[in-house]
Amino acid sequence: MIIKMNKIYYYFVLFGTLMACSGSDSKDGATQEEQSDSVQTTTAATSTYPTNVYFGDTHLHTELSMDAGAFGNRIGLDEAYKFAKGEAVTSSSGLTAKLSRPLDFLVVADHSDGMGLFQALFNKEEWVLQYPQGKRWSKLIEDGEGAVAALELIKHFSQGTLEMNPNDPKLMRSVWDMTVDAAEKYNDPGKFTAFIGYEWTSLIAGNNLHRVVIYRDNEEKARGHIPYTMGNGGSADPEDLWTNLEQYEANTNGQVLAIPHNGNLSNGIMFMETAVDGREFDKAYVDRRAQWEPLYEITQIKGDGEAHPFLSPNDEFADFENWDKGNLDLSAAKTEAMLEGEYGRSALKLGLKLKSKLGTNPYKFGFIGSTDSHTTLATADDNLFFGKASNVEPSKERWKHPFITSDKASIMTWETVASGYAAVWATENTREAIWDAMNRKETYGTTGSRMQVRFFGGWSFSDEDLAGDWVKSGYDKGVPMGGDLKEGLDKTPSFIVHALMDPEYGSLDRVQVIKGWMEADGTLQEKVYDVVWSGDRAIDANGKVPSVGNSVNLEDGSWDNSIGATELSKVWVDPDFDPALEAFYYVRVIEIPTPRWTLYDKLQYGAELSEEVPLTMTQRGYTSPIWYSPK
Amino acid sequence: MKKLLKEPLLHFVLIGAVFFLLYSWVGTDQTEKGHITIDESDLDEIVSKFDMQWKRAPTEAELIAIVAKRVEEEVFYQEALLMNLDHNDEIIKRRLSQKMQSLSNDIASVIEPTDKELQAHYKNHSDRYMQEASFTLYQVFFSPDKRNNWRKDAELALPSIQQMNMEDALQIGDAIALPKVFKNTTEFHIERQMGSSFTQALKAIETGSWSGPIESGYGAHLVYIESKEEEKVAPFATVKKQVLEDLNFDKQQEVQSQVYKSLEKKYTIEIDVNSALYSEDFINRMKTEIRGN
Repeated sequence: MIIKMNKIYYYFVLFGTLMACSGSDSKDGATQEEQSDSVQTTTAATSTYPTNVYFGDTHLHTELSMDAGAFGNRIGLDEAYKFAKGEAVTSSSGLTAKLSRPLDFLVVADHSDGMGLFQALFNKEEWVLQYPQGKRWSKLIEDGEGAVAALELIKHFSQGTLEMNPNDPKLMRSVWDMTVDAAEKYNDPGKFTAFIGYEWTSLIAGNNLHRVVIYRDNEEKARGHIPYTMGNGGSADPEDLWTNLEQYEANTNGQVLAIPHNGNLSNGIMFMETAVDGREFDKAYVDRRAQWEPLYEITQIKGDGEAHPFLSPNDEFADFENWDKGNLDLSAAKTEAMLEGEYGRSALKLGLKLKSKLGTNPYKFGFIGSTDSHTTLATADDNLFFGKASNVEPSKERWKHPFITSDKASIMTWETVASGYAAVWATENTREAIWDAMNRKETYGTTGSRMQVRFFGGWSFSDEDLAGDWVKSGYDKGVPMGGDLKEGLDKTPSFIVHALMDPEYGSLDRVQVIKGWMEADGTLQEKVYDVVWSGDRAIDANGKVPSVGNSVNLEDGSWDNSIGATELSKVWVDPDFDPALEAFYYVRVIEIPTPRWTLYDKLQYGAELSEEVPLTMTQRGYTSPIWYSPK
Repeated sequence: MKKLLKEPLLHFVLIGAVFFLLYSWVGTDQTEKGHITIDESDLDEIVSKFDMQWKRAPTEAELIAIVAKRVEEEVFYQEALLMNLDHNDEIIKRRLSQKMQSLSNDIASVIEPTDKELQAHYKNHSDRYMQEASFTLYQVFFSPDKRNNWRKDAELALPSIQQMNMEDALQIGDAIALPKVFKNTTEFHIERQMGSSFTQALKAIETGSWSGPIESGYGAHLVYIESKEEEKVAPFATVKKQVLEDLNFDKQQEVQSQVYKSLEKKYTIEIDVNSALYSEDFINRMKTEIRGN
């Protein structure tokens, strides 16, 4: 009875309050005069092909990801979007963060497994405390040892030894609702795209098979479809993820795609010739992989995944921010035999072989870059790098913090890379247009620079095309990055390559075309061509363009753009073309050296770095390939 | 009658009545001591939740197991309440106080603001709804790729370009994959293409003649601003959605603090600290601040 009285009292209070509030705003509610609807139209008339490249991050974690929360992330969805849109935000460690230029789109991709679990540990909810692990981690978090808890959590999750069900459906439902609501709130067609998405966190004995899932659709379709997990009713097998995506499309008529990342931490199982259950690929497998996974995230904070010097000994640029010590939790060390199944370039080659065997190329993907930041802050700029997780936000000491450590090896924080962004050539900045461009692979990945890169393949490009409206010629007479060259007959393919520097990064050293092909006997080959470069450097005895040099002043972080070029373009014809062989071509753009984030830490915070820590790096762009097929 | 239906007071009373009925009805069958009922609505709820997670209905054995678990939970819960185990539990306190707050949020969000309220909010907070400056401008470029003294060359070209018609003027300088013309383009879109130092420099340039050179990350530019629309308040229609979100948010905050104030009146709050560790000044400050908000 008493309880009831109190309830009545409470509602009584509410009524009174609401009435008071409703009065307050309407008092000064003088009606606004009708404003003339003179909305300014921007930019040029709509054309049938994309004239703008949009930069974004398809892979950002907030406090809702269990590991992010455990590492001390205390900021969430609102901050993620506000920051991406260019507003200043206070980071978890209390620093003010603001992008020098806003992003055009964002995918908040929190881990589906354990969505909201950290909040449960933080709030000491009964259901997690009944497990010894839950008790231990809650205590650690309370004592300010969240990072230790996080590492243990990841370790147990990746080894499948979690005691609790991290995917309590009630918890997931409410967290997914929040995620969807925030994307709807911040999506602003024409100006900023907020995609609905999540990360499916598949690990097989610590080997990374993660995928980011991105919906083309709005909340009406995506809300009802709870993210697919690895544990507790989900699966670690990508084929089961694809089944889940198929179900989504069948039930809703919606569209969705998945982007794998960090093959470099998969110990060779990201790109194989057999499924994870050990059976040989069949036609159904390769068809499904090609359908659901049109892109690969080629560069991010946990290492660059284009090429490896062991696989590409003749490529002097292959040794670049590679992570090759082991798998995601370093529970197993890396061997050379694993490398082929880990890198973007080797996978593209393997795809040609599988196509000749099965008729479909399962590794026919384009490239994007993204951050995989766990700080809620999509920072890929070296002069504004908030690190992989909130425990390594900018500070004097962070560089020497061990990032992953085991009895096999250690990866230190200085080895993390301030990378990367996804660049998408889309007809407009909307979910539909950007998703469609991703699906047709008209994309490239950068390590953080916003360089503009174009790549067209055709059968009749010549230097005259560059003098006129070459973008129009590119689309009229050829295909853009991500496309297919067919029906060449006895002609030789020609390509328009074009790169414009990012006005706030370094100028351009060179533009290269990387070709991969399969010989008639089945051997897989690759070759790197220097196509156009800055200055008047002559090709040396090894057939290479000599180094552009390094103009970075290590005392103040400045550099001299005049050693590189503002813009590089050329029509390139394949000198070694054989019309009988399957091949692919993609462009790699390399900037002149500029300061790496470690140098900014040294100059801004006085970090006392050891000798082995690199202070400069070259920003890069990797375009999606154009494929040639004789059939 | 129609007028009466538009009366906000009536809305509050009706909504309040609905909530009251709902809560009192839901409340009774569960709080009766020593008695636990599982009815068909409980089963329906369990089945639909199961379906949501596993995409199928539970088997009979699964359903029985879930109900058994739930009964066990309820028994422990009731006994725990009897033993007052919920008292002085930090987590339960936090959870219940959040629940109180979300009740007031629910109610605040049920009431849709009228157009009049939206207009007023828009007017009172016009600084939140600014539309950025936009330009119609022409630019020609002097490239460091093609010249040793690109800035100087741009300076030298300035007097002659002033005399040219626009068509000829745009032939001056070096080609680059950047637009030469921006028509009614917002500062945001210009900056995406040209970088921030370019848009910064635009602010100091007069309209109606060629100026420069101004420096971007690419090189040097001469710029002709034909027209410029200063930053202004965006038309209501274009920001209505945002105004609605802001107003709802502000309202929630206000309802929450009003509810707290009303409830707090029921309590006498005593700060009873007698220790040399805390100065009298500090205690007095604490008293006024806690009572004052």
